Amino acid sequence: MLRSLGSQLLRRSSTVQNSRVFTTSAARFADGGDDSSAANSKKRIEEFLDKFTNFAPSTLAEPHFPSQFAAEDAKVSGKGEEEPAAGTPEKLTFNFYLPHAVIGSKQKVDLVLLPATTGDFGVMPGHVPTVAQLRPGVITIHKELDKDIEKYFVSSGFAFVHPDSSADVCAVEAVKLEDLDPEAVRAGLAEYNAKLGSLQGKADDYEIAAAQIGVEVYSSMNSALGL
Amino acid sequence: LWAGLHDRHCPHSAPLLRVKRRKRRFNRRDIMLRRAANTLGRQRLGDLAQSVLARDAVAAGESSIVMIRNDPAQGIRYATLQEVKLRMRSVQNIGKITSAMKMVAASKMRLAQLATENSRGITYPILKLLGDHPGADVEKNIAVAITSDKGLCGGINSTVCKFARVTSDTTGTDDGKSSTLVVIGEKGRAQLVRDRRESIVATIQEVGKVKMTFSQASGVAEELMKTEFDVARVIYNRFKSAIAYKPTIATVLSPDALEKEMALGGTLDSYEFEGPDRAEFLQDLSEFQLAVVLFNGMLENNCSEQASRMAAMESSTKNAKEMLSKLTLTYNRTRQAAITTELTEIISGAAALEK
Repeated sequence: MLRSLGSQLLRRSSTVQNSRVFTTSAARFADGGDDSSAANSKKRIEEFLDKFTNFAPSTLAEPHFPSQFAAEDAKVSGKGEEEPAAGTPEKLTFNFYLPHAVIGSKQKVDLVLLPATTGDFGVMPGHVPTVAQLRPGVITIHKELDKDIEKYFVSSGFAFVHPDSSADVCAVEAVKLEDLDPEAVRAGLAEYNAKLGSLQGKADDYEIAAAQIGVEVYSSMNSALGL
Repeated sequence: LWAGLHDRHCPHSAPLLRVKRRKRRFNRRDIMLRRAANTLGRQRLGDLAQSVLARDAVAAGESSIVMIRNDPAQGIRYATLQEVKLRMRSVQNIGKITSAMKMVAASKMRLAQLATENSRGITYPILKLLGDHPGADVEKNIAVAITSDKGLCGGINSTVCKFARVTSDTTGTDDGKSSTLVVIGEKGRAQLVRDRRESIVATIQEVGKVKMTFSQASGVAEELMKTEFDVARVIYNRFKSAIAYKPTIATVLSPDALEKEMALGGTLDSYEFEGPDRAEFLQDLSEFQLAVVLFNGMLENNCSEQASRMAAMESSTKNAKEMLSKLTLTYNRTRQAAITTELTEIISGAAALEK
């Protein structure tokens, strides 16, 4: 649980000369892990289109695919691929997405602390590629280490750390910690505790699970606000 | 011009007026006017006097049979002034309605565009991690067609339905049975139920009627999970600009299908899993991806629908204006001809009497 955090702390101490003791998997993907998946996608799309055109009338145009648009958007916004750095980049490229909003896109940050279901872990440039499922908790973004800090409460979601020192967080809902109302949180926690208490012993699993989720989210909001 | 207000050359316009084929009762006055107008150019005065006499006879009730001369065929109907005026008024009203609809669609599109662009971001990380596998070869495929509930929106719904049909054929079983369809939206249902009734397993309507939210998309995703698909292909119109949209197929794999594809070459093995074990994680991720893809697809389709409606109403308004100007010319011409014939009759009658 805390082993990755521990290894991060160890790495921080050796950051001074920007030399890395560990060989991260970044080296393995130096010739472009992304490129290979992009090429794979293109190949698969072509195979599908071959089958597709067998059944399609000749007047029908070719369909498009989301990976094509993703590549286009990346090209438009990213000013081309960054050259695979020899070693690890200085800053982590951090993307924070909600279904209805983009909180941050290609932000350069130093450290991000994520609440995974198995425990909190921090991500710095050169972190081993990870996929994590998030629990209701606080995401802390250190734009400048210990200087510029932003905290968001997330309800749940997923986090991916890629070999090219970029991290993506897809959350279902996220709010700034300052925007949480302590009164509402206290009231909500009391309500869901009561609901859970009253449902105990009755058979409906769905309702019990819903009440448990409510209790979990509200108590984590409670502890995040320090109440 | 008389058969219906439909511009055959514009793909966007729809028939604006349905002409009722009612039994036409000829007004005696019209007939006399028309005959007078016809006889003017072609006959000598004598005949004109005859026709005038014939009209008087009819008016006096002596003769109830009116001979229509110079009418080449039975089927030609000449509209009266009043009919032309009625038609002009209705075309003008239609022009006003379509112009209002166009402005409403333009403002809705602007709002929808913002929401759409915000919803695109969350699809990229999952795509980057899992990749795009449209051609995954599995047993149970479903094609989800996202269409609109309301009409008068141009060709977007027929486009999606065409692609849905072809996708369901392409991913069907080897013995020729097409894969199942799920239709979101009333217009798609109406089109697909005509030839793909047995393939449709569910239809979902009035999504986003009030506001499109992620919880609605999650609800739809939950319904789709009940079909226990291996691969779901979501077909929608991706919004490109106010005049362009691109039919897109987004693929969502179930965990088993994903493992199969990953075995063929994928980078998922190099990632460490923080959280539940791999199988449970992939299950959750697949459900999340489905909800996210549906949410994005529905928003994009909604935005494309508004843009398409804007274009359709714009061309309808233009057609209505053209039609109105043509009708106005016809009206004026007919009115002036009627006045001229009246005058001519009177004058020639007076001249004949003088003689």
